Amino acid sequence: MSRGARLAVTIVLGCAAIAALAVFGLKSSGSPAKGRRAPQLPREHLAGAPASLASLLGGGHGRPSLVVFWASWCDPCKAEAPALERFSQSPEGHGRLVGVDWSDARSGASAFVRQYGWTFPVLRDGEGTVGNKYEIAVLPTTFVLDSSGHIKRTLRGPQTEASLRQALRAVEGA
Amino acid sequence: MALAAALAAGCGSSSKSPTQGSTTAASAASTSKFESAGILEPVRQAPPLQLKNYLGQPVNIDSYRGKAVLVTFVYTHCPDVCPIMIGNLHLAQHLLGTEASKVQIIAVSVDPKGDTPKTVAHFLTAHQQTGKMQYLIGNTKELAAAWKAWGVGAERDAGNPDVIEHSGLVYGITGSGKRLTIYSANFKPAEIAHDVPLLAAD
Repeated sequence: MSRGARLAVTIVLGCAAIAALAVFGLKSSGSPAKGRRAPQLPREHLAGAPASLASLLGGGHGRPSLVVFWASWCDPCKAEAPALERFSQSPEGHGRLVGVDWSDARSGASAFVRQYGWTFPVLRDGEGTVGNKYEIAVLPTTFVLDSSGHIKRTLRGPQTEASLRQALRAVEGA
Repeated sequence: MALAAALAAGCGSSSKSPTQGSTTAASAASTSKFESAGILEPVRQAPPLQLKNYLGQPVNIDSYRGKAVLVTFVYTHCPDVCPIMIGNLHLAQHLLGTEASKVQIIAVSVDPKGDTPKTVAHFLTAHQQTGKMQYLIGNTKELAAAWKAWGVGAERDAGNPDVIEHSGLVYGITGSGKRLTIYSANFKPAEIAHDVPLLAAD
């Protein structure tokens, strides 16, 4: 196969992969663990208590934690928003969740947080650099981190309290 | 020819092969200059693109000679791939820093009904692109002519009329007006940032 043909095939396969993630990933419950170290979270604070990767992992008291990338312009994120707040208020979710607003206007993001009454820490990745390091391909995307800060699972699409709980338990039990 | 169709077939809500038209993609190649982009061969002048933006101002791609132009086809209520593409284009602008002045991003609507001045204004605000990206809209006849000229497929999903299947690609236009590079929907922002100065200088 020529170099050009290989590139074309690569591009098409890449397209097919992202399309599949976007279309079918909305209902996916996870992907195989990558085990890579989670990149640092953005420094810009949007709402809730101040947070960092270190505080998230510390707040989890040695348990897995969640980093959820979202945006105010993302309709599936709206569907997920109430579940995130409920989960953060639950015994299993309290202190174990940080939201990261990706490539989004600050005003819209703040309004979104108010609308859904989020009380958990939310950071802002306004230029999208952190999300790029996490390699997000769809929104929302939830990364499940183990207690040492390694990404163990990636959940694409809107989650429920049950799916978040299940993902944390799966990593805890791994 | 099969290769051309394969390369030009895009992402989006679902893959949509390009309509035939003046698209001239015949092969893909990678050069040392453009490390990751596909190269459209034979290299030709970009198809015409003259529509109005959401403010009603006429926009002609030819007016951006001297800059790299990135042309993509999206719609404002696209639920999946388009907003990620726009977000990554925003990141590419950020990575370019002061060299962002060398690029003009043009988004062309694939939704004549849904993309109104109001929805586009909201979209650009949400994506921090007001005053940066040109978002071109028009009626079905006007937009269909642009899709045809650029070889872009756009069609409502029969099973879900809110979803529009369309080619999810970004075309790179040189400063001299040639359509040279093509990026799939899952391009890396750093690739675009790398290529923009090269496109602008070509």
